[in-house]
Amino acid sequence: MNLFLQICIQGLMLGSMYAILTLGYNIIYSTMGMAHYAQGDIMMVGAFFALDFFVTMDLPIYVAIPLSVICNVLVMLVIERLAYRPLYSRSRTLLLLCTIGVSTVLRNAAQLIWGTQSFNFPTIFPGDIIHIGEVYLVPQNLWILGVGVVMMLLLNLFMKKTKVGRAMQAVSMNRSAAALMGVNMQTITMITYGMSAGMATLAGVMLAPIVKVYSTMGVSIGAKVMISAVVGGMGSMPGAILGGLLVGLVEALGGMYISTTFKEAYPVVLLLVVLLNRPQGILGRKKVVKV
Amino acid sequence: MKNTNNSAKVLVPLTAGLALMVPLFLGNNYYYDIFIMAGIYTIIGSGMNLLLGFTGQLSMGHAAFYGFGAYITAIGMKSYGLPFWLCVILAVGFCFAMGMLLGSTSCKLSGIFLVVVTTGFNTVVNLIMVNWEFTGRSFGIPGIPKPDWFGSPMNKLQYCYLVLAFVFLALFVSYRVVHSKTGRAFQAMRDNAIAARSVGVNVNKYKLLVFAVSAVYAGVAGALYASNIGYISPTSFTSNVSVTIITMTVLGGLGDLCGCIVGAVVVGVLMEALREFGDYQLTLYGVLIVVILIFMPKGLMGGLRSLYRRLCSLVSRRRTPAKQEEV
Repeated sequence: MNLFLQICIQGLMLGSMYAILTLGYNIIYSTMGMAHYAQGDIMMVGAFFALDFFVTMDLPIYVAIPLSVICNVLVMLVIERLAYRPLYSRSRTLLLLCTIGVSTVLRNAAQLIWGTQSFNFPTIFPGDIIHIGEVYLVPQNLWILGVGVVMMLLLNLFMKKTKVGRAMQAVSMNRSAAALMGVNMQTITMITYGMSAGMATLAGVMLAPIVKVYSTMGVSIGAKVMISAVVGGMGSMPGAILGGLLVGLVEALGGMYISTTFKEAYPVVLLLVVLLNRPQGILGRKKVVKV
Repeated sequence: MKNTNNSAKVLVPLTAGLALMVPLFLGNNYYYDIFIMAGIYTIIGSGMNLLLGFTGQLSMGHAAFYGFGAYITAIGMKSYGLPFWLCVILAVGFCFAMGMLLGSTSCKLSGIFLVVVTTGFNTVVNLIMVNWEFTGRSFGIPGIPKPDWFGSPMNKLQYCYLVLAFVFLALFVSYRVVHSKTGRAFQAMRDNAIAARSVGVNVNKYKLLVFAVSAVYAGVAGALYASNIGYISPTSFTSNVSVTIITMTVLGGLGDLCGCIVGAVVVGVLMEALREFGDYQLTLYGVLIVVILIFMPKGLMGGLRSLYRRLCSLVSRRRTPAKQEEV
């Protein structure tokens, strides 16, 4: 029972980071109507920036994290300008292909710049292991869980209370109507991508001490992010959180009770089960497609 | 229209003749291998083109089918001593069935949903390859024999012609499929699935069919690959390889039958030419996808075609200036 609780907390901790990444992915999906395949790789680039600033340059963590967020947001905006913007008016399949191309570029460019080895990332939140009954809790994991929850709440506030957040919701409901009501599409686009990249960077920094930093870390995490987005319901914000947490839980529990070799496969099984029963995702709304 | 038909009448035998002549002048094993790989890429690319170019479905799981073909051939020929042709038939059957299975998800899903499911499929298949004793775990399977040719194993030159035969067959089948009722149904589905359904196209049937057929293409390519290279390991069938397959299809031209030849040759030759810069290779592929999508949506072949048309109109304008004035 204690072991089960501990694994659950482990899974929720991973899941909260998947949820943050998925939220970033879903913001792009709902505002831009495009699936951003390169989300995991953007996270990887952010983690490498943090590694450079925090470990190599030895800056204090409260300087290193904002700096890496800024750098990564700039990278994302450059990509958006160069690769995505020319394709907005074309078919969605081409845009999807383009994001696959971008993810290949990022992954391999990172390999050229930072090398193929995996780097250890020191813990940001040191501290002694906490015992509650017979459950052992690593402070780092609790912090990650806490940061995840705070970020979700902040995002929720941002979307509901601020002008920009409301504008983003309006755009996701009806693009042309929002544009006619005076929403500046270019600004909204840039804010969307910027927020998504910023959240991905934070998640990358949080995950870095656990999974290490390497150039292909975006592959498996990116796949899990897309799985959580689909499981929770594409474009749905509560769905992203639910999907992320579920994927994290399934991965941790499967790895503990079945076998760790097939760790990557459990989320896929979850995906298939959900898709077979609810193709629109658990909290997703069914879309009516018209000719 | 008539003009392009006439040019096709000249160009197709010319290209085929050229392809038949080329192996005779290659001379060493290294160039034979490049030629064989270009052929294998053409086969797998034309399968992907049927799926992505003609029906607009994006599969990130084709490296898995490629792997099925390769592993079936490797295990069949090495462990059970089956002849090559039987392995190819087995690979075709197995890939057809697996293609139907994966394709059944595409009846309900499209776009990113399909990408997620097919990526997951590829991940799971690759995990099985790495962990199963039967498939040689992560070491893979060494020492795969060459097919027999009247009692002795084929040499590289003969193998070139075997691959070429499969390439011709693959392209011929693609051509016949695309220019049939089925092919028109495919394109109608790509342009608008609901509209196609409303005029009586059985969308689900055709989606299953095209998935299975393109999986068969990948399986045959895998069989040819395993027997040529003699050693296979799970790293040759990761989702990176799926990206390479998509790269060459996009590069050559989506929905263009000749495109996959151009894409395969360019990627096959580039891969060798860039061997020294092995690290830059995949980065370049990614850049190529993005650049081609933005500047040449019809791929290299589309670019060549429009260039040819412009030349033709230039020539005809020079030749008959009087007629132009009359009009």
